[in-house]
This record gives sequence, C-alpha cells and structure tokens, in this order.
Amino acid sequence: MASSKVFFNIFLKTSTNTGQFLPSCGIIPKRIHTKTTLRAPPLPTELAPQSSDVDEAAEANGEGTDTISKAMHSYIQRAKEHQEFMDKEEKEFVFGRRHLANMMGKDPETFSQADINEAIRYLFPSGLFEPTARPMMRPPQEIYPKQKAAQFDMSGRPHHPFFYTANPNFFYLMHEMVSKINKMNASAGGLLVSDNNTNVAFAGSVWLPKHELEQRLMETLSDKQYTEWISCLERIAQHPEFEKELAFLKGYRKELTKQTKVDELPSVTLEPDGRKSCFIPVCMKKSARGEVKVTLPGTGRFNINNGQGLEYFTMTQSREVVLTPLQLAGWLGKVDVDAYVQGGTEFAEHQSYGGEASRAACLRWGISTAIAALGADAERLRLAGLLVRDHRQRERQKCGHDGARAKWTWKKR
Amino acid sequence: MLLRKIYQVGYRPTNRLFATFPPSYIHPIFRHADQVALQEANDFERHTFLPVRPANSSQTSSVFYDPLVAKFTNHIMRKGNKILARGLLENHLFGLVLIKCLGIRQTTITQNDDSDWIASLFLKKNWNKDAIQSESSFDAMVAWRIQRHLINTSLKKCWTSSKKNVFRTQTFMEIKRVQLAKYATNPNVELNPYKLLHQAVANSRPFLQTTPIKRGGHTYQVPIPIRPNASLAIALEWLINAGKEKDDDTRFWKQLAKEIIDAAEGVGKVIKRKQDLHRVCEANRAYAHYRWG
Repeated sequence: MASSKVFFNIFLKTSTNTGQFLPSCGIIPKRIHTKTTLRAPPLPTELAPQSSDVDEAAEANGEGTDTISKAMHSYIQRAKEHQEFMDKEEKEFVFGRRHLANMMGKDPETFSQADINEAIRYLFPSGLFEPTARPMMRPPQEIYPKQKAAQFDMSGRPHHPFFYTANPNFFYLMHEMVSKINKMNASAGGLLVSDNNTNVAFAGSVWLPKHELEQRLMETLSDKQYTEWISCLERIAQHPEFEKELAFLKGYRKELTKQTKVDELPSVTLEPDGRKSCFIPVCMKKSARGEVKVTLPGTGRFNINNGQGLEYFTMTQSREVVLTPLQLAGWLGKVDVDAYVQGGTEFAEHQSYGGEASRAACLRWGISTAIAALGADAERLRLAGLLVRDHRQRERQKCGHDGARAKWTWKKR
Repeated sequence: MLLRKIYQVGYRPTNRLFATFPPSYIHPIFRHADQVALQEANDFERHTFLPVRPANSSQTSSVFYDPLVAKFTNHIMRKGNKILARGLLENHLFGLVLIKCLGIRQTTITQNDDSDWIASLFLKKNWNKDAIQSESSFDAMVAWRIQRHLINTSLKKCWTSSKKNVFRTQTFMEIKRVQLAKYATNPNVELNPYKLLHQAVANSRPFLQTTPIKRGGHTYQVPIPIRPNASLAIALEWLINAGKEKDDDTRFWKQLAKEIIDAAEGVGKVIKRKQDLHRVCEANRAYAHYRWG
C-alpha cells in the first residue's frame, strides 16, 4: 500500500532513539518522537501541535509562520502525517473488519478479534513456524509501536520536568518511588524493620519484565537501570507500611498462569460394575507406544500385554518407574491397571532389554494422567515431572559426523 | 483390549542450537519427602506457576533411591549400557535382599544350622559342604548362591551373561563381604555400603583445582576454586579410574569396592590423588592473583 510505504519512511526516520537532549534554542535533530506519552507529569502539558493550531496560535500572537524554524516546521509536518496515517489505518481496519464479517457470513456488529483471527487463519492458511510472520489483522495501535508526544512546546521548552535526563518517564517513576519511601518512613516513625510476608500479597506474580516496562514507559532501559528499579520496588514491598502502596505495587506485577491445566485432563467413564475408569489411548515415549486403562477402586493388580504383571519388566528400575505415580499419589494397591505396550528401540547385541526403559516411561505417563483424571493430586504429580510428556527423541546422525554430535578427528593440517 | 493402530514414529526435529527445555523449566521434585519439605517451607504455592521438566527414568520415588548412587551409576555407564553399570555397582531391590541376607548373620561368620536352613530355602540342588566350609564367610557363599538362583529362575529367555547383570550388585556385595570379614575383630566397623560410598566421595572431593594461565610467555598452573558439581564429578571419575587400575585377573567391581573402602577410611589412591592436587595448589598459591590478570 502506498500509505504504508510513506509511513515506513516516516517510521524509519522517527525511530526509537530517545536519548536526545534538546537545548532551549530550538535546534531539533531529525529523530523526534510523535504521539502521546503514557504517563503525564503533574506540570501543565500542551497537546501535540497541529498545523491548524500552530497557525491559529501564530496569528493570535501576531506572529507569522515565517518565525517558526524549518526544523520545527518539519517536526510538526511529521507529527501531522503520522496522525493522519494512524487515522487512515484505523478507518481501513474498521472497514476491513466489516467486510471480513460479511465474507464469513457473521454479524459485523459483534465480530470480535478472535473471530477475525479465525477468519484470517481460514482464508490465508500459513505453514510458517514463526507466529509473527503469519498473516494477521489487528487494530493499528497493536501493530505500530507507541511513540511519545511532542516533548516540547513551540519555543522549544520541554514539557516534562525530567526531559534533560535520558529517560524522563523512567527517572520520574524512580523519583515517585523514592518520595513514597520517604513518606512511609515518616509515617512509620522509625520502625523500619520489615516483618511482613510479601509472599502472600504477591504470590503468583512477578515484577514486570524489562521489555514490558520499556513498552510501558516508551523508553529503552539498560539492565543496570532495570535492576535498580526492581530493588527500589522491593524496598517499598518490604517496608512495614507497604500496604498503603499496594495498588501502586500491584500495577507493576505481572500475574503468572497456573501450570496445572486441570481442564485438559481426560474424561472419566463409568464401568458396568459401577467402578470408575480412565482410558488413555495413546501413550508415547521415544518409539514406545502404549495404552493404559486405570480402574478405581481396585486391588493394585497389573495386567500388561494380556496376562503379564509387573514381571513383564525385567529391570527393577522399570518397575519402580511404573509404580512412581501411584506411590507419590498414595494410590498403591488402590487401582487396577490394564496396559498394552510395545515398541522401543531395536534390540542391540549388548542391550538385550533395549527399549524397556522407554516402555516403562510410556506407561508411567499414561498412569499419571489417568489417576490425575480419577482424582489424585495433580499438582504433586506435575511437580514430579510425571504429567508432562517427554518429547525428546533421538537426534539424527549428520553427514561428516560419526553420530549426532561426535566429530571426526580434527587435524591441524 | 483391542489391538489398535500403532502410531508411526515420526522424525521430530530437535533443537541443536539450544536446550530442549528452557531454563525457566524447573527440575522435577519427585521424592515424597522433598515435596513435603516444600509444603512445610510454604513454598508450594510458588511452584504451581512454574513449568516442570519431565522426570528421567532413574528419577523414581522408590525407597531405595539414592541420588549419589544414581549419579555414580551414570558415571560408570559406557555406551548407554545402564544394565551393566547397575549390575556392577548396585541393583538395589535385589541387592538389598542379598545384603539383608548377609546382615542376618552379622554376628557369626561360622557355619551353623540356621545358615543351612536359609541355603536350603533357595537351593534345589545339593551343594558341596566342604567347599562352603573352606570359604572365610559362609554367608558370602549363601548370598552368592541365592543370587545365582534368582538369576537362573527369573530368566525366561536365553541364558547370556548380559542378562544376568539385571540381578547383579557386585561392588556393594564385595564391600559388604570385605567389611564382614573385619567384623570379627572390630565390631564397630561400618557395614553399610551406601554409607561407605557417601563417606568415600565426601573424603575424595577436591576443593581447589589448577588452571593454566599464560603470563609473559610462561604458562602457570594457577589455583582456582572448584564448583560443587565439578568437584563431585571429579571425585567419581577418580574412583572409577582407580578401579580400572587393576591386574588382569582382578575384576573391576572388586577393585572399585577396595577403593571405596579405602577412600572412606581416608587412605588409598584416590585420597592420595586429591592430596597431590591440593599440594600443587598450595605450592602455586603465589600465582593466585593471575586469575584476575
């Protein structure tokens, strides 16, 4: 699209360099930011100057447009073009969404972003691995990065009081945090020893990662700055009076998702004799394949490959591996296990039991998932690494090598 | 159960450039005691948000599990032959049975009616009593016979010697035998092979190592601290290498048993090697600042 080319030129020029000092004489370098800031300081701010406002203001002050320097003029021009571009993209997106909804036969009014994603996946199927390389259709605000507003007024005076630091938003945030600490110290009245348990307040969340903080502040930070910010936050979080600033702290916490996906466990069926059972049709480990059926309540009976018990596994390690999920859950002797397993690696000369470990691990995963579905403590099993499928496979041999990694003797000459 | 279609093995591309699991994936906590300790430390809640790596085949919640023994077995293993490695060192279920059998007669090492009874439980054929009486420890003979009986009766297929490794537990048996022989003269001797292995490894871990650093055309051996994992790995390698330095008529497990007992007492090849390394570090301590240039 022509507009996107124009935009790209602007975008490449107005790239993410923030560390520009602007003297008040009004000389402005080429790389300037446009768009609105996220965090406004308490001092009075002025909006991004539009060309019409500029003309009006100039006329009101009795100045002509020839008093504005060329640099300032081009800066305003760029800001205006960017704004126009974003408006145009927004209009195109809205129009395109309606069109897409009509194409898919859905109601345009209630066509959500999830519907858009599904429609794009259907119309433009992509085999690309990288998700960001696949075709996407999202609001322009999500695609094009946020940029800062005009950081100074017509006379070149900056709006932000911390403008002459490299990262005004970041240093203002640090300044705020230190004022908070001082305020808390004053109200604590000398009691600076922390005896609060922040684990309770902040369980299940971590401090905002560096890239997300950079996105929020629209500034690039060094690792040292980030660690300083974290230690300042920790200082507030461990203060005896931290509850007063809990809302502020929570604003900079990122919630983690619970890893145990209980809703992804297989379903339980009812047997004719009233017992509950769970059947896992596909258990895999390397090349071993199996299926497992666990019945509750049971007597601890094992039936592997039609009639054999745990003696099917000749290695003690294999037997322990199969029993581990039952032991951890405390369900030894409480369930019956019917399993079928085969496969594993080819029998080698010295590995007459080759593949048995894979078969055992294959059953182990099946049994863990089944008992988790039947009601065992899924979190304990997950923490023991039993609920996650081991997808590691044998690495292939490459030409010029003896094996996957082993290289031939290196000769200097 | 119906026979279902066996899912074909597909080639799954492995990531050669970096590890299969990212560092955010924690190692599994597969021991019941460790999980209970986590709960008591009020740390369980935090772990619900952490992704976990799958457990290995050697990471079981078995009561016989010992992390040091598992690691030692891996170090002994060659070309993926874990069965042989376990047979050489310790095959705990069977080994424990046998070691316990040996422990029954801890107080006496002479032949008596009870020993005959134990032997008769496991042996179907008549054995040569004269041959048994000539052994220094009758119980060692009984244990060996039990082991052979278990091997021969539990095997279903062919009788190759490699399959017998499944039931062997050579080194720990030898340690027990040797210590039992000393028991008559010294009742305070440590008989537990697991404890002896722990003690041996603890005694043979170095705390400093040297690294070659070039300064002014000369290469100096500069002493530097050693990481805990590296220290453990070196200690285990030294024990294995000491076991390999043997006569042709001795077996590896016999030599290894001897080395473990010596190291546990603070004598022997491995301890000497550690002390030599420490001596070199001490001698070169003048160059320690070369570490930082």
